[in-house]
Amino acid sequence: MRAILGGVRWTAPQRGVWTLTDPEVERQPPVPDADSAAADDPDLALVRAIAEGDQEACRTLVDRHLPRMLGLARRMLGNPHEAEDVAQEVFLRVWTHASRWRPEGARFETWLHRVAINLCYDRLRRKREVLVDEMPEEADPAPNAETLYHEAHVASRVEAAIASLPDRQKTAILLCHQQGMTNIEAAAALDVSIEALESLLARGRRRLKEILSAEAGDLLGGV
Amino acid sequence: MAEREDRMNAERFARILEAYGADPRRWPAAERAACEAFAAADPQAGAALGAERALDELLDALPPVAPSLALRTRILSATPRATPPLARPAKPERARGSLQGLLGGFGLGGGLGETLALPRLPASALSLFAASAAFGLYLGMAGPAWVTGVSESAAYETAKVDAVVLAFGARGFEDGGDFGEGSVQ
Repeated sequence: MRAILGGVRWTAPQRGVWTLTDPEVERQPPVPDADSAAADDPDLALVRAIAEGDQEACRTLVDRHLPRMLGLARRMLGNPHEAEDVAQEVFLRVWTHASRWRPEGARFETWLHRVAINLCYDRLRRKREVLVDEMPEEADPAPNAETLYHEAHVASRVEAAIASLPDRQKTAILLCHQQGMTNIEAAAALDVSIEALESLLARGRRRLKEILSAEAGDLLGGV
Repeated sequence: MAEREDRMNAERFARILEAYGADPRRWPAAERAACEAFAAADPQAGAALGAERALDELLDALPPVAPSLALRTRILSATPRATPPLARPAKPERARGSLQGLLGGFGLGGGLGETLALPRLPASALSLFAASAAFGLYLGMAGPAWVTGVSESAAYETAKVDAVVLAFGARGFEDGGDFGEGSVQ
């Protein structure tokens, strides 16, 4: 269930990032179904090749996961520059620790998400006051697309609404909706039970509906 | 999960919609079929699905984030093989060797450097030191009088005395140190 990296378990309590944990969600035992997920991990061979210095394997891994790592960090942090820093740090850790990575029941992609999530939590914790007071940056505008202005505006409001969620609710929603993870994978990445994940998702979605319904023009009604 | 399939009901169905939204692809795999069957059979399910679908569409409409080529390049420039191995610079060793070589040139032997635990100096400093020493030696032996403080004739006389000492050892001193021109004969 947990990945071991350099003899260190990459679980949130040891990294100290679970200070952001929603007190209403109790931490649960690992998800049993996730143990079988590592058996058919498509990244396992790549990681082993990377450990031997295979440059092609490095490129393949980056092309496979960089967009999703960057997207997750971008939506969690609301800042494109910080998101790039996080994405780069994730892969630097892969390069550094590939030779010591052991599945231990978790897919490599799940471990990647955990690293990215923890890095984002660290940054969010450091600038929490700023995030509370300020809205995240506007989404990149679509070039020469006046007809897409409304879509860009909607996207920026949705991003702002997501950014305003408590960190773990936000992470749960991003993992399931943006990252395309199954509930088992998302629960493993968050290191919570399925029930806890569903609680985070339900409360996050409820809050999003409240925010977006209150927006001018009622975004939910406009879709 | 099979147990859950058996007890799929309105409450569980609503819980799944609240958490995962209206898209069956996001529903738990073990309960998906039961959920879809329940939705098809329950007349109230349509309204519940519609309410969640609006939020799903907003979330799905978020544009993808594309990494820049510069970011990809930065990441790949730090891959394991691209990182040069940490190698000890050989410059300090060469500098020490130069000092030992210098000492060897003065007949002091290569082992002296080790014995004296000579400091590791840069090669440029050693070169400057050697040049200064050679120039000073030249001035002292063959430089003009204003540098050495010895007239040319006095230097000649001193050279003669040196030659006598070399030829006759300390005996000249036993003779009272009279190293006049005739005594050389």
